[in-house]
Amino acid sequence: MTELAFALRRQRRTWTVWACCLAAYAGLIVAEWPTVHHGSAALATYVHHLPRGLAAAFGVTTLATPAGYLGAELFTVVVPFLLIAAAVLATLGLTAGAEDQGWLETLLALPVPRWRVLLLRGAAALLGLCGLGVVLALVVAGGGAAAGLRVAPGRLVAATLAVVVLAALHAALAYFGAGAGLRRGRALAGALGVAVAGYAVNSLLPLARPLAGLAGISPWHWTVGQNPLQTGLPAGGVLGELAVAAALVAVGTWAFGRRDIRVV
Amino acid sequence: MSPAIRCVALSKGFGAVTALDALTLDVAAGSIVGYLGANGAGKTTTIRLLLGLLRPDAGRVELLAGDPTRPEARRRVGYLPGELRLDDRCTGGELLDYWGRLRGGVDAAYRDRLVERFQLDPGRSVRHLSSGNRRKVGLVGAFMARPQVLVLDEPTNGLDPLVQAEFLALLQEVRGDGATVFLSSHVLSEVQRVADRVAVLRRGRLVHESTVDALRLVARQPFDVHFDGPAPAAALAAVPGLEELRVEGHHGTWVVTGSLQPLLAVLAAHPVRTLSAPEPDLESAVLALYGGRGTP
Repeated sequence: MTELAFALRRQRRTWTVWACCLAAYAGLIVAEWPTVHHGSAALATYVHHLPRGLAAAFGVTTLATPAGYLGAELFTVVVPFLLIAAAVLATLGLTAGAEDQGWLETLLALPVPRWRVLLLRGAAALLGLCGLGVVLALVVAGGGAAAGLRVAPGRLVAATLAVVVLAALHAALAYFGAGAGLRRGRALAGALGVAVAGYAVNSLLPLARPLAGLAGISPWHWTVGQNPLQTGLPAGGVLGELAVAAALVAVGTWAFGRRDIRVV
Repeated sequence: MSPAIRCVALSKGFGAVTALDALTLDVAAGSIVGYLGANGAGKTTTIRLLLGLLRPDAGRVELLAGDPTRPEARRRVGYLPGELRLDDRCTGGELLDYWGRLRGGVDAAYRDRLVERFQLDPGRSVRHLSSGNRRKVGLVGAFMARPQVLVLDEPTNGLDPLVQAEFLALLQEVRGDGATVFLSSHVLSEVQRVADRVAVLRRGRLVHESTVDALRLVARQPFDVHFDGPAPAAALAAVPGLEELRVEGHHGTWVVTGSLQPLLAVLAAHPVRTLSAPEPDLESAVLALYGGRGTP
């Protein structure tokens, strides 16, 4: 647990900054609800005239309901990308980034198993990500209550869980890259590249009807793409992503235990 | 008693470069071994293999009769890397606490004495420490658990002379306590002062392994001689291993490598007025092994 505590303490400022940014953005969106709600008739007309596929691509199915508004403004694009970026950067900072800097050399010469060091550092990043999820849910629930933006608590938890799991999957991909020996820059580009490609596949392929079925290959489709604010927790998608993330972590940890530690 | 460190036909390459080529070396428990060689000779690669940070391509390493890739084999080992990089978001004290908790069994009072001895301020952020002060953090970290084996790569790099002296005194103390020290260094005078044995690496191969005194024997021994009569230039030039001969009247200078017997026979046959032959140091011995050049 020493490793976990160290990693969390080391990144406390980083997580605090992410939490403040997320809370500020989510709070702003929630605070705008009364204005949006009052103009909902005009917005509904606007959304109605958007091509259906394009509206779906950006999660703008309806802005008139709290679930539709929060889905479009928070849970479909911006928050998933924010959480993915935070989780991937935190994971790589503690793993591939630390190795690039040469910080692991002294550490891994100590009588501590490599797998434990890497795994607990990954766990620290996951805990930080979960903390962001809690901040997000609390700001939306608390701010929503003040602004008259009411969503069922279960649905809010489902939507939060869906974005957290999606971000965790990308963090696991970054972890896998770090374990396999990629430098921070490459692992970062890989994980964020998959995030952008996954978003594009989930959001843009349905616009071309013959390719619509391919959206299912995107991790976004399995979780946030199921619109959990309106339909509840996509249990199958969440479990599927958690299983893939666990496999990536297991293989990354295994590879880390068998390779050379990089020379600075 | 099994050696504290054993390398058997140990090889490691990086792409097309062979960093270490079939190294076989035993380090006896309780000894201090100086590990010498030019930059790129393979010293750091050896050390990283010893600590399990690199995986060998061939051969094997034993650390206290265990496999260094397993944590339990590293439990009684202290390590100071040559290129010491410390997490700069921490203070020196936080890092020492962290390493101590991970390692376990650190005597806090002894660690504090080391901190005091090396005049380290543990409350300062690593980011604001000079390279010498960072090295002090690494030294305290390496010694604080009273390890049975110390693996030190260029330990005095960046240390001021007072701290260097303190370090050498500490090295003698831990040797007195029975610790084994594997010391890689460019500072040959330092190795000469503390080491029992030396191993010299060149282009990844072990080219010499002996006591320090035996290594001096392979050094180029300089001579400066005044004869009663004209210096016997022809006889001197015929001495095996004699080089850099300069003769002027009754005076001659040269260096000899290897046995001195043939030279002594020549000198015995020609009356000598004065003879000066300063003891060669380790540096000249290593240079002799390197053919007088500093190539890896």
